Amino acid sequence: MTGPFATIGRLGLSFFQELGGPVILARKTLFWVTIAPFRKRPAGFFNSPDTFRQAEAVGVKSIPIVLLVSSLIGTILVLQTAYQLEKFGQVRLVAQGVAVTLVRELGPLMTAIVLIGRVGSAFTAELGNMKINEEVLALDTMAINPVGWLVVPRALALAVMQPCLSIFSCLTGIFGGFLMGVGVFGIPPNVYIDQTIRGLVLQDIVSGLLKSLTFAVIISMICCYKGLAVQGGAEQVGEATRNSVVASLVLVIAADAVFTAVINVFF
Amino acid sequence: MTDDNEKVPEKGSDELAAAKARAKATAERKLAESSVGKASTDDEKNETKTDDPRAEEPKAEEPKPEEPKADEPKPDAEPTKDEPKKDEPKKEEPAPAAAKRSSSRGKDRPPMIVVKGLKKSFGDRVILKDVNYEIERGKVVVIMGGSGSGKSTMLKCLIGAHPIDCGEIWLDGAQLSGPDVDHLDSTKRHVIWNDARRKFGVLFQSAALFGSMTVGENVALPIRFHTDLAEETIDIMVKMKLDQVGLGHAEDLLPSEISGGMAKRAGLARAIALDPKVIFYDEPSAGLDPIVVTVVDHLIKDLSKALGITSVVITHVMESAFRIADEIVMLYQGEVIFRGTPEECQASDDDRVKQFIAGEVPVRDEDELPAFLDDVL
Repeated sequence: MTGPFATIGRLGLSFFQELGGPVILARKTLFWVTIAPFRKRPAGFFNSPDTFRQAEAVGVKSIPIVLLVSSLIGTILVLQTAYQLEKFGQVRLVAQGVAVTLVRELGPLMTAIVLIGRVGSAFTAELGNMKINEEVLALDTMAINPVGWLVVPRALALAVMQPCLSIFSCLTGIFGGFLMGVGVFGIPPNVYIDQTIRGLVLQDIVSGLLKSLTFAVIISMICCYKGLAVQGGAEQVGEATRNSVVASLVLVIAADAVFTAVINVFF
Repeated sequence: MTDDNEKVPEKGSDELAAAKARAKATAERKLAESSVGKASTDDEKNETKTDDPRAEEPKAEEPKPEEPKADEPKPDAEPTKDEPKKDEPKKEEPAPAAAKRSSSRGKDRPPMIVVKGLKKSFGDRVILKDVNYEIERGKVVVIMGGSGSGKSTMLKCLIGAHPIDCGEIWLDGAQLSGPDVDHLDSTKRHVIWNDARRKFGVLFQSAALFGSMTVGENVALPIRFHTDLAEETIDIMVKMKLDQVGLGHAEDLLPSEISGGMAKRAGLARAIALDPKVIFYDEPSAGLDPIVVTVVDHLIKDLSKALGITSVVITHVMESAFRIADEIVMLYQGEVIFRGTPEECQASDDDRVKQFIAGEVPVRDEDELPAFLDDVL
């Protein structure tokens, strides 16, 4: 079948097929996190030392790169905003703008982008390699559920560490902006701090953290699913890793847009 | 693991004892009929139903009594009153026959693995057409065949990695795939398979050791996961399993630090960690030098003998197959074309079997030759 409608139909179908796998994986992961631990033999995440190993790899080892990127984003934001506000003689307002933008939007988003590149791709490559080396099948034949054993530790680690990293990211970004605002634009430090605190409300912080959590779920599900779905050899692992990064980026930004729209309309 | 035959009264071949046994059995039967009515319990019915996949054809598959061996351990227990009905038919037999049967312990238990009418295809590509065979307990059975004959697919079906299109798979008297299971929901099927998976171990072609764990941790994984044993006990078990495969010194090494042969043996130690009844070997000789192949072959044979494990070996290496096999099943284009002992395999008249053993390229009919060869020939 050809024609525009057929093309649109095919694209829509493949989109939902691509989305369906991660959604089913998310349902299974939820089962292993919420129900399995209360069974006689949980066999789930806390049986696995992998949870802590992943938390370290995902969180602790990502701190330097997240801090670096965030501080740079903070300084860039101050430079760009102050350049505009200088025309109106309102440079001191830059602190409010930067704080709100970082906490509500850029902190969680930049953290997610860094983690997609650093952690999500590693999830896909690692699980993909395990799949082609029959390690996933070996788990199955030992009656150990691969979702409980492999996916849950990664999903939990990311879900806990990503909001933490977002907080670090926001604080570092604000600090970078502070240095730039005080050092280059001559804003008094106490004014900058006062403006930052005045600009933020609890809703901004909560929405930022919720966004981080949502992004963590999206990244872990997409990347783990792509890894477990690998069939073939090394080439397919590379392709799956590439696809998982692209899909995660697109979905995170789309989710960000939806999230922001919902919060702005309803709250 | 109880064997019904162990409870058959054993009085040797003495005629007097036989007469006593007959009289006692008749009396017990009458007592049971009068008091219970429906003699067998539901449990017994279920047991009969699920434990013998060959129940539909009892006459054809009735094992022949064997002569009792001198060193066979004699069951010492008299039948208990708790289970009068189970032993009843055996008690009605003349005592010598019962003695002979009890001496061939396990012979009338169902085969360890039964495959009936197995079909499997991927899309339009039919891989397994109609595969039937049985694997007796404690035997080393080699499934052979060339590339594309369906032997790897067969293994994946047997371990539950691929769902089958139709047919039946039985393991240790329980149906894993087939009409009794197919109508169940996926959770129940999953439970059935997981129960079965605790009865078998798999040695994968690549050994499939987890790279982030040491060899010892790899072996400990299934024990830690499926038992509540203390860590000290698990450590002892891991050492024992590694010693059994000659890797006692490699417990703390990572899979990346050991050779291919050692990885295979470590994989084998992990496969026997939970004392399985069956071990599936997927191409155990692949990628190993001839000496290590021989070592692995001896290991397979020794484990089978020492632990009474049923071994199913997928391979295409003839020397290895003849060395270890009690029985050879040969697949060709998704069908079983030969089943028998290694000697029977070597003496087979089937051209396909002979070609495979000799490693000859099959001669094609002239009709099948490509057209461009017409001018040449």
